[in-house]
Amino acid sequence: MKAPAALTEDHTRRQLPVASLATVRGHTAALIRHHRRPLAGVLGWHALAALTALAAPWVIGQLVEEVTHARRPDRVTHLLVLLGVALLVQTVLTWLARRAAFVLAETVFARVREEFVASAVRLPLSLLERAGTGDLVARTTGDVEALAFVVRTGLPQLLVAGTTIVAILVTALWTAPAAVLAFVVAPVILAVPLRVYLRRALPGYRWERATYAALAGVAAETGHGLGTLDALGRMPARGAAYREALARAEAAEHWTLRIRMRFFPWCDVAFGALVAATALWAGWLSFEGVIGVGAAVAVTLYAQQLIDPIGEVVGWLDEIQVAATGYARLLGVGEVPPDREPSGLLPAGDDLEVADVSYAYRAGHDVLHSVSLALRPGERLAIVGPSGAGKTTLGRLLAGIDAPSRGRVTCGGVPLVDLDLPTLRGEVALVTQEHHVFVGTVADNLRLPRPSAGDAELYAALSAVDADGWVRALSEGLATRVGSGAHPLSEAQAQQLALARLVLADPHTLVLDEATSLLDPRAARHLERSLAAVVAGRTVVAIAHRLHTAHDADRVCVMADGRIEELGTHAELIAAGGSYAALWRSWHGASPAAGSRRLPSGPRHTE
Amino acid sequence: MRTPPFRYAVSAADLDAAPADGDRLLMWLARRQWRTIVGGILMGTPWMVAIAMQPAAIGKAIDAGIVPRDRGGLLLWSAVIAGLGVVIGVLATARHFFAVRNWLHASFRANLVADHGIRRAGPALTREVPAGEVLTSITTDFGRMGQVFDVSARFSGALAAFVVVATILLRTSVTLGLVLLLGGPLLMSSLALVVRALGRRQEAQRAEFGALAALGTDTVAGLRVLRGIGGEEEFLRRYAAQSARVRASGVRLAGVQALLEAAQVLLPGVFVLVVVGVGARLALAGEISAGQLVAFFGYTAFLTTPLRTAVEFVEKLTATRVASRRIARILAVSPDHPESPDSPDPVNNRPFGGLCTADPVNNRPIGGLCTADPVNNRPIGGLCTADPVNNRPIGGLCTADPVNNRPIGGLWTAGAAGELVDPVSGTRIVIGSFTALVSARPEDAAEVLERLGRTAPGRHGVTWSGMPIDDWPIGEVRSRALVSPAHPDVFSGPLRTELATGRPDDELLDALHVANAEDVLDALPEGLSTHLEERGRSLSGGQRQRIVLARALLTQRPILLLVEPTSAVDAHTEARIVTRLKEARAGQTTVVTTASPLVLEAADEVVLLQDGRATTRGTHADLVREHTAYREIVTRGEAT
Repeated sequence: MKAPAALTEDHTRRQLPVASLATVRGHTAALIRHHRRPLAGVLGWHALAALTALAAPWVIGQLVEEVTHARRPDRVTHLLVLLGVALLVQTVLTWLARRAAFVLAETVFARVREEFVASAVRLPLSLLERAGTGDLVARTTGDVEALAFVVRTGLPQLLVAGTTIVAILVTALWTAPAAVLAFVVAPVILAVPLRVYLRRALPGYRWERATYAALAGVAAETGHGLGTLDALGRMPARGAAYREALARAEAAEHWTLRIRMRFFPWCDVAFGALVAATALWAGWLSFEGVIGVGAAVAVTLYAQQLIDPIGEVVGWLDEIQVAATGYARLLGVGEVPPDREPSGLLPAGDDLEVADVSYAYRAGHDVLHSVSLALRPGERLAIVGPSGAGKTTLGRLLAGIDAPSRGRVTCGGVPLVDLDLPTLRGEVALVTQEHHVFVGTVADNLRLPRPSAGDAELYAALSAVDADGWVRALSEGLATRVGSGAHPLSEAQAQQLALARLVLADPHTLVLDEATSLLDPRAARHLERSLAAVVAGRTVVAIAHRLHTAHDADRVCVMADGRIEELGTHAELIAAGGSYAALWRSWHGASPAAGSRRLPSGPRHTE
Repeated sequence: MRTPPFRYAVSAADLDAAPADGDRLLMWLARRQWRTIVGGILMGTPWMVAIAMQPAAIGKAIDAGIVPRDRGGLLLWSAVIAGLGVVIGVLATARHFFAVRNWLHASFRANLVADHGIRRAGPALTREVPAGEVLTSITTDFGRMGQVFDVSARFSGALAAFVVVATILLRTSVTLGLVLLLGGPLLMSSLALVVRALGRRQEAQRAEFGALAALGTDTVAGLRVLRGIGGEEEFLRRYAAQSARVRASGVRLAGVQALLEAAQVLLPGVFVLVVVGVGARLALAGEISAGQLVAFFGYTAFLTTPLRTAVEFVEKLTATRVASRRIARILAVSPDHPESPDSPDPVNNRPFGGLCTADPVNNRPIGGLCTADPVNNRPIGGLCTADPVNNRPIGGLCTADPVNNRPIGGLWTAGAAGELVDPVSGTRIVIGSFTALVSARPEDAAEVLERLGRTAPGRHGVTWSGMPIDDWPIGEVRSRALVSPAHPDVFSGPLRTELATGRPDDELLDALHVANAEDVLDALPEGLSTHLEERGRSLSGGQRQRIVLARALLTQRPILLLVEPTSAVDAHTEARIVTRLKEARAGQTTVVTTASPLVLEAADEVVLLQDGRATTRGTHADLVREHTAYREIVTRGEAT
C-alpha cells in the first residue's frame, strides 16, 4: 500500500520545539510516580471488580455440571444466590473503581495543563515577538484536547480493560492452567497486523486532522471575509477553494479508511480463533480427564469475555499514540531555553545607548549595520524611514527584546538583555498596536504589571489616560468583566486600558511602534491626550509613520537600508536638505496655515 | 499540492435546490446517497446476525462436543466458531466501508450546502445568524450531519439481529424468550434514563472546562502583551484557580459518572441473573440442554449490543436534526442585494440595463461607463451609447457623452451625468477623476463609499451618471465598482491567487509596484508562489494593506472606492504609492478616504464631509488656505 505524498509533509508551521519520545516517557513516568498511590488504589479496586465479574462464567460452568451430572436443586439455588451477591459486590466495587479512576484522570489532566500553561507564559519575549503565537495557539487547543480525551475518557476505560484482562487471565489460570494455553492464538494472529496498523495509523490520522484543520480554516476565513469576498466578486472562487479543501479531507479519509479496512478483519478473525481454539483445546483436555467439564466450559466463556476488553485496548492504542505526540508538543514548549541570563547587574542610570550594533535574523543577512545612537534622558526621538529600513528592528533592540548580533545596547551601562524581565520592564517598554483585552475584570487587566495596586491606584492610572470616566460608568466599575464573550470594549477603550497599564508599569523609556499602531492623527482626540499623559516625563522613541510625530520630536533619526542616514532636530534636517527635507516639503508644502512652522513650498516630491 | 478528485461533488443547480428546512434537507441528502445506505444495510444486517450466532455456536460446541465427549462434534463446532470469526471480520470491514462512505457523503454534501448558503447569503449572514452559530455549523456540525447515516447500517443490523435472536429464543423456550425480549428493551430504556440524567450534570462541567480553555487560549493570544508588561504570576494564579474549579467539578461529577458505570454492571447483571435462574430451572427440568443454557447466557450479553445501537441511533438522529436545522437557518437567509429576477437577461445573454465596462465596437474599456450590448453590438435600453473613439453618439437614443462627461439629450439633470452621486451625504464624485474624501469622523467617509458602491444594505438612491443603481443586478454593480473597506480580509493560499486569477505575472508585479509592495514580495520565501497564512496573519499591517491595494488595482474595475488605503504605511511609502496610484489609474475613477496631506495634495478634487454631509469641494491647496475646519482635520497632528 503506497503512502500518498501528502502524508509525509509537515502540516504545521512549527516555530517551537517538540519534545523527544524519551522526554515524553520520562514525564509520563514522573506523572505515574507522583500519583502512584491513587493509581494503586484505582488498580486495586478495578482488580477486585474484575474478579467478581468472573463469578458469572464460573457459576455457569458449575450450573452446567449440575444440569449434566449432579442435578441438585439446592446447589443450583445456592449458586444463583452466590451470583446475586457477586453482582451486588461487583456493582459497588465498580462504582468505587470508576470514581477513583475519574478523580485520578481529572487530577492528572489538571497537572498536565497547568504545567503546560506555566511553561507557555514563560516563553522568551524574543521568540514571541518574532514568531508570533500561531503554533502555540494550535498546541493550546488541538494538543490539549487530544490529551484531555485520552486522559479523561481513555485512562479510566483502559484501566478497566487492562485489569479485566489480567483478572480473566488469572482466574482462567486458577480454573484450568493447561486450558489457558489456547489464549496465545489471539496475540499470535494480531501481532503483525497491529504493528503495521499502528505504524500507518498515526501519520494517517495526523494528516486527516491537518486536512480538517485546513478545512475549518478556509470556512472560518469565508465566514469572516464575506464582505471582502462579495466586494471582490470572489464568492465562486471561494467555493472552489472550499471544494478543494474538502477534496483533501476526503483523500485523507479514504486513506485512513483503507488502513482500517486492512486491520479490522484481523481483529474479528483473532477473536473467533481465540474462542474456537479454547473450546477445542479445553474440550480435548476434558476428554482426556485433565480438567472437568465445568472448567472447560468456564475457560471457553472466559475466552469469549476477553474479546471486549482486548478490543477496547486495541481501539485506544492509536488514540494513545496521538495523545503522546500531542504531549510531546506540549512538553516541547517547556524546552525553549530562556533568551536571557540576568547578570545581576543593575543599571546605574536611565541613559540608553546603542553602540556599534548590527543585527541579523538570518546569519549573513544584516538588517542593521553598525548603528550607534545615544538617547538623552527625557527626549522624544522619532525614527522615520521607508519600509524595510530597520526601524522596527532597532526599536526591538532598544526595548531589550532581542540581543544585537554585534555591539551593545545598554541602559545605565548594563546591556539590556542582561537584566531580568521585571527590571527590564521598569526601564523600557515596547508599545505596539497589540492591545489584547484579557478575559477577566477591568481590574484584572490593569493589575498585570503591578498585582499589588489598589483600586485608587488603578483609578489614578485610568484618570491619567482619561479613561476613568467610562470605567466608572460601567455597571460594576473595575469589577466589570471584559474580554472575549463579556462586556465589549471599543478599540479606543482597549487602547486606553493598555496605556493605563503602562502608567502602572512606569518605565522611564517607551518605544512606540507606530508601524503596527493605531496611534495615528485621526484617532480620537482623547486617545492622543491619553498617550500624551503616558509619555510625559519619559524618554520616548517613536517609530513614526506620520511626519507630525517627527516634527514634534526633539530629534529625528532617518533610517535607510539598516543605517542611520540623518540625525538631528527637525530644523537641522530641513536645513540640511536631505531626504527628510524633501519628504517634509511634499507633506507640508500645501499647508501654509501652520503659522510659524510654515516653510517655503518646495518642488513636488517624487521618489 | 495536487488536488485529489472529489467524489462527493454536487452541481450548482442542485445546491441551489437544497431545501431550507432541517428535515427536508436530511431527506434531500438521503436521496443522494441511497446506494451507499442500501449497501451498508446489506452488509450490516448479516454482520450483526453472524455475531448473534456466536453464542449459539459456543452452546453447540458444549452440547455436541464437550458434554457428550464427542470429538467430531467439538471439532465441527469449533470450526464453526472460527469460521464465524472470519465471516464477521469480512462483513464488519465491508460494513465499516459503507458506514464511512455514508458519513462522508452526508457530511461533505451538507458542508457544500452550508458553504454555498454562506456565500449566497453574503454579508447579510453575519447580521442574521450569530457568528458563533455559523462557526458551529461549519466545524462541529460537519461531523454531526453524517452521524445518523453512519449508524444506519448498524441500526438495520441491530433490528435484524434482534428478530433472529427472538426467533431462536422463542423456539427454544417461550418463557425464556419472553423474559429476554421484554426485559431487554426495559433494561435499555432504564439505562437511557440514567444516561440522560448524567448528561445534564455533565453540561455544568463542560461549561467550567470551556471557561478554562477560553482562559488558556485568551492568554496565548495575548501572550506578547503579557510578556511585555508583566503579570505572568498573576495570570498563572488565576489559571490555577479556574483549573482547580474544573478539577473540583470533575471530581463531583466522578461520583455520578461512576454511578452510570455501576448501573451498566448492575442492570444487565440482574437481567443475567433472571435469565440464568429461569434457565437453570428449565435445564434441571430437562426442558433445555446445558449448551442452550450457556447460549442463553451469551444472548443476554449479546442483546445489549443491538439495543445500545438502537439508543445510539435515536441520539444521533436528534443531533443530526439539530445540525440540519442550523444549516437550514443559514440557507434561509436572503442576501442584501438579491439578483432581481427581471433585470439580468439570461435569455439573450446580455448585460442588463445598458451598462457595460467595455466599448464593444472597439473592444476596449472606456472611461468607466458605457452602455452597449456587447453580444449584439448595438445600443440597448435607450440609454447612452457613445462611440468613444470618434466621440459621437451611436444609435439614435444617446443621452450623454461619457468621454466628455456631458449630457447629450435632455433626459438627465445637468451635472448628474458624469458623476457618482450619493444623495444621503450629497457627495458628488466626478467620473474619471482621483477624488479624496475627508471627514473628522472617518466612518462617515467610509459609509459614503459603501453607499456609492452599494455594499451597504438597503436603498440609498445612489446614481452613476444619472442612472439609479438601486435596482441593478448586484453583479453589474460589482463588475464596475470595488469598495475596499478599512480592514479588508486577506485569504490563505498562494499570493499569486490572492492577487488575481488568470493574469500574467507581469501584471501582478506591476500592481505590486504601484502599491510599493516590492519589499513584501522580496521578503516572501517563494515570491508570488508563497503560500499566505490564514487571514494573512504572517504579514504585518502595512504589508497586508499594500497587498490589498494591489489586489484592488488588479480587479481593473472602472470605479475604485478605497477606505484609508494607506493608513498603515509610513510617510515615505505613502508618498510613493500615491504618485504611482494616480498614474496607474489615470482616466479612471478612484475615490479614497484619507486625512493624509500626502494623499490629499495629489487628489484632483477633495470633498469635505461635516456631520456626514458633503459641505465643500475643491483642491487640497485651496481648502487648506480657505477652510478652517478642513485645516484642523488634516493638520491636527501639528495642533497638539
